[in-house]
Amino acid sequence: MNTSKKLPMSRNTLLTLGAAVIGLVLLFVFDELFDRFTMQIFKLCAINIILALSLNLINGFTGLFSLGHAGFMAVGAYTCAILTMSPEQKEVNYVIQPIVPWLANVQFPFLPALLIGGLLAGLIGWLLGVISLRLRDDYLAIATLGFSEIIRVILTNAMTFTNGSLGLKGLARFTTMWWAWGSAILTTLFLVLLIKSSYGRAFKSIRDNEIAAESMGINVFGMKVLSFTISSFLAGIAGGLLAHYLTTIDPKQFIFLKTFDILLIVVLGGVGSITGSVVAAIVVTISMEALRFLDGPLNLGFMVTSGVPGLRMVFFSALLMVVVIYRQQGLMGKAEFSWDALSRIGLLPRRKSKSEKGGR
Amino acid sequence: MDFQTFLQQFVNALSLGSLYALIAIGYTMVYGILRLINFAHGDIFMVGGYLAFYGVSTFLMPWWMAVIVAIALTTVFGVGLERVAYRPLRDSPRISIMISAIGASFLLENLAIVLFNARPKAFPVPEFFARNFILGGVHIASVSLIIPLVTAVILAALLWIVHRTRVGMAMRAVSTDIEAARLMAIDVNRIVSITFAIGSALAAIGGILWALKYPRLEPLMGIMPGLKCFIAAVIGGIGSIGGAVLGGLLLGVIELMTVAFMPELTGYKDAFAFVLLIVVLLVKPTGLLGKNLGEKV
Amino acid sequence: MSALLQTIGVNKSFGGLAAVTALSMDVQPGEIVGLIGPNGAGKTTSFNLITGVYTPTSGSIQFEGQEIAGMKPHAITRLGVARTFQNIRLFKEMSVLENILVAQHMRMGTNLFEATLRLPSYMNKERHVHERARALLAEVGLSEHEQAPATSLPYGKQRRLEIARALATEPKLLFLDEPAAGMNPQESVELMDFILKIRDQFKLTIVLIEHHMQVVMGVCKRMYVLDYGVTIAHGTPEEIQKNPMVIEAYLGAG
Repeated sequence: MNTSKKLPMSRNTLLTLGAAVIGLVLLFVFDELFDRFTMQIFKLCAINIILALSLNLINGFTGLFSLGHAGFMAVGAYTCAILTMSPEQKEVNYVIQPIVPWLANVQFPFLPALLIGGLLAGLIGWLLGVISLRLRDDYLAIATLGFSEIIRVILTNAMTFTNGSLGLKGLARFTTMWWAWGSAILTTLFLVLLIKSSYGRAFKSIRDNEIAAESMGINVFGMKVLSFTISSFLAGIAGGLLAHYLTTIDPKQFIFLKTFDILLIVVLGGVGSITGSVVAAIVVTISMEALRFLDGPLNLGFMVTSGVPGLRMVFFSALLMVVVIYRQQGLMGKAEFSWDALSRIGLLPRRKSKSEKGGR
Repeated sequence: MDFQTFLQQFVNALSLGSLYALIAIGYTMVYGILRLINFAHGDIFMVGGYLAFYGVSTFLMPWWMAVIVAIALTTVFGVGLERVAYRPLRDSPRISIMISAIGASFLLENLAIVLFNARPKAFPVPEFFARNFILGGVHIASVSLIIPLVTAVILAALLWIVHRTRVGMAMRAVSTDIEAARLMAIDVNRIVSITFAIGSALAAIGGILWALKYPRLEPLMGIMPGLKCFIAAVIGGIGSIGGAVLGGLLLGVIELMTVAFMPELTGYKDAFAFVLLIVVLLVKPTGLLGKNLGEKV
Repeated sequence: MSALLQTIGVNKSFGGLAAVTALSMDVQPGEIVGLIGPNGAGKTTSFNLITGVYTPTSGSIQFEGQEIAGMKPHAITRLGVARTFQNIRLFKEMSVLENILVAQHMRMGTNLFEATLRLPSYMNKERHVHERARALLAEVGLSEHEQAPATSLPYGKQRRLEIARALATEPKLLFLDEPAAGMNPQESVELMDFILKIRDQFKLTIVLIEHHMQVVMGVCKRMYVLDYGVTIAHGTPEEIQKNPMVIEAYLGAG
């Protein structure tokens, strides 16, 4: 609602369009240029963006501390994988116990399977939300963590659906760069629009002061369930993408340590910042790969250590603690990227002031 | 199922439940004082187990000495952890201190992988603990008898400390109202440190007993018992020592008895605690023996 | 004339401790009613019972003839009951304008679909709530602070913002919990005028808790006096001033 609205096309709109075009060109160039290994990391960045944003919606914007994300991812991943597998693949995979007959001959294309996975995760999220969102703070955290573990235990035991701890192997590599980044961009766009809408304000009011929000006519419980459901849906979508990115899934991948990985990204980026989550997802994903050398033999100049597997994760967990203790707001705090902010810090020329524009 | 099998299962359940109770007390005390789920509690438990292992196997201490040294070091470690990871955040939003606790847990697990190696280690069980009795047809490992005894002694000692000593009175004051306690010239930092010391010592004892019962050490061994014992504390009513013991025993009995009566549910064993947790939270969120901590409007 | 609000024998106890006993009050449309009493008399608890924050242990609360006891606060707000808080509860991380916008969400009648897709229907509603929010801010004299963080305002203005936020929910009945708390006599006089002004302008009925007797006596036609959760008196300010039980409650026996 600023004065620039009067212009046919403001500088900011032009800049955004320009950035979008450059982004698309870059994606195209990367797709042509990068080797497979680099592409994989690049795709993982996109999947992590979706995960971080969905966790941030519930933890950052609505102020509910949920630790159940790994479970919703698992629901999306398994649903999508089972639906896309061909009957022959199912026969090969389910060696101990055959898959239930009504699923044996089902095969869907990727998009509907992905959406069904997301919807099922959303449905379960809605159900669990209705059950647990009366709880607060740490009680909610531990209950959601519990749900995620229950989901994992069920996946491990429901042999005729999930093939148990053997997992599912040989999934099609559907998650191309276009799928991964397309979904990530759509998710980001959706979240920006959501947060800037009246619903976003309602979510933030709950985070800020639940009692006041309720007294101002906000259906706090309903809004929490809504936020939780959307978040679970997105986690399910990310799970489906992840399944067809990794091409093998098993229940162990979805232990709650996976939720911690995502939490790390959200905290580093800034709890309650979309920009922060996007940037941190990319930075953390790339540095997780870049720091892989830490796990191998290290040449410290004066000595060469033998490989120390796990050192990389020590670094990231220490980083998480340092950030929480010394810079709680993370990279961005609750701030968001905007072209005007870039001008403020001098990276773009300043815009003309209102009075100068008044002549128009 | 005949009576003998039932008795056998009951003895096992009692032993596991007492062990849960022991660890749950640590959670409940820390939560009572700081309103913090000390996610790292399970990892402190793991540290205790490993320290005892190294005491015996690397430093060749007699086992009793290794146990004492391990408990002492773990206690110092727990107090240090509170200082570094929790104290700077005491006045921050609860979400921050919880993230810090998760970070600490995450860090300890990964450090353990680096320092202790991810491969499981066999815990050397002294002959005394491995001895088997047969009582009325029921097989009892001596460790299964020792665990409930240790828990009972510690419970009695703690109840005495909390209800009969000045430190205990200060603890109760801090847990009721930290600000008011500060105004009454109670050294809150000291009380928090003492609470962490007790909690960590209990975690170490729990870790060592666990290793004697299931002689296998892994860097991630603290996660599941840690979560379950927190759940036990919630079920009993968090903040209440008696509640933690009740919750621990209840959880142990339910886990083992369900599996004994319905073997087809064995695979779901790790989910019982969580299901129980959710049921309790929905039916009686304050737990069986807990008090209500509502928000004043 | 039928009462806008009527409570019949409302009781509330916390763990056996009676906070409010047999609260029976009625409020007629257009009235300004005072609720007074010493600290801890159960005034705020009464507000919390009527606005749905607490559920009464027993008794009936009727708003426009409809039973509202036990309803959720947001549902009661939807019916046309709004409130402010004794300890100001603004949305701290939001601007002054956003505080008002949040309160309008309920009446916007939007849905997730049109809101996230920015359909023209939504954009119209959004424009409308912005216009209305600005009008309300102008009404309470906070226009210049529109973009400021809510908690950067001085105390008196925060109280006014809270009132404006309550008005944004389009209430028929407004509860003010100690609106003059922390104000000097000059500000209190201004507040009295302000309360009368919004009553007339927004066709409100107002119930207020207040310790400043000057304010209560100045604006209220009728008042209820609570002590230890019990209604010990009600009547016009003149009657209350002369009531021996009230004097005793305030000054203590003997």
